[in-house]
Amino acid sequence: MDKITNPQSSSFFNKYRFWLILLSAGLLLEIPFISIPLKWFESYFHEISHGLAAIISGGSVIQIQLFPNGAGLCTTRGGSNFLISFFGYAGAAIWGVIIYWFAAMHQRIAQIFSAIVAILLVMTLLLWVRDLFSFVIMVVLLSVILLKFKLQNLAYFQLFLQLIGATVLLNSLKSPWYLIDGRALGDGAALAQLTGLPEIIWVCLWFVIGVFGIVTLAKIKK
Amino acid sequence: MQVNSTSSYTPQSSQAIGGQNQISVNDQSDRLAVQPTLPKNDSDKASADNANKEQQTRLDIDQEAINLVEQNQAVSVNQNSLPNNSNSSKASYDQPSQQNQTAALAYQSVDNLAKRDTIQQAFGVDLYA
Repeated sequence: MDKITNPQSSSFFNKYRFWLILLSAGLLLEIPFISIPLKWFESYFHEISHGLAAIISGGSVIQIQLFPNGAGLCTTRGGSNFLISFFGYAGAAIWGVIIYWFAAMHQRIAQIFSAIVAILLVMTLLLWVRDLFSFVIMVVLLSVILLKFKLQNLAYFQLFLQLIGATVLLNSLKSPWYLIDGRALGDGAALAQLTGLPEIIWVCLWFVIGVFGIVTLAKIKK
Repeated sequence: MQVNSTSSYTPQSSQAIGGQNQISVNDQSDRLAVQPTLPKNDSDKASADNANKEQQTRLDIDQEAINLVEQNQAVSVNQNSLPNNSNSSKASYDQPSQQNQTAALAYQSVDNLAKRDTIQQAFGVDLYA
């Protein structure tokens, strides 16, 4: 409809699609209630990245916890402490890029990728979630993913998934800076203890990864 | 936990609590100072007389306490009638200082670290937030 009625606005949207979606994601993250599940998405992809890093490096995941305020906790046994600590924030940024990228490729690919994310959420729910709060949050995330399949217009489906990817990416840019609070807590402090490099270096590195992701997606222009 | 409850005082409530405490402390100290001086007798009649006297003394004490309360109320009314600047400065004075808040946060972080270490050592697991 938009193409028929106003081709100029459509071409403008297509030209600046990525930046408009990124701007919309930034605005959505500032809206009090709507921003909550979006922050939970970032928190989930952060914790699942810790978990996947643990599994890849030979360890195992004991439990994944998500809290209503957007915090999370991943309990692991074994594996590489360095990789597990590093891939929390880096993994969230990578997930943001992948979600946006796959959603932008093709409408059908966006559907398949959504199904994969839904399966990952169900597996997490069954294997690693052991408390009520996390269970409820995971069910909400799963519902958001599954509700997208109700959309008849696949263009909206694609746009919705791109928005989720953009919010995850933006959150992963912002959240490492919360580590700079004068307390030796979190992934940055753990990496500082492991490597001897100060926490700020790791925070900057995660930020650079996020910026690199945005630049890469901007070049794709879909 | 005590640190939390202290830091959660609002300036208004702490001011009110402080004022009431001040009055009651004066009242109690006067009663404590007077009551030990009461006479003790053996006979029933004498004790009845003494009881009357005691009642009168207690009435006197209460009257003194009431006077003290009135005085304190007058003082507090005078304080309240001062310009707003003095009220606001008192309110800000009652607030926990920035240094205390930092100390409370540091205390809590140490507590969390200790808990985290305990869990990690007890179960042989790693926690990533």
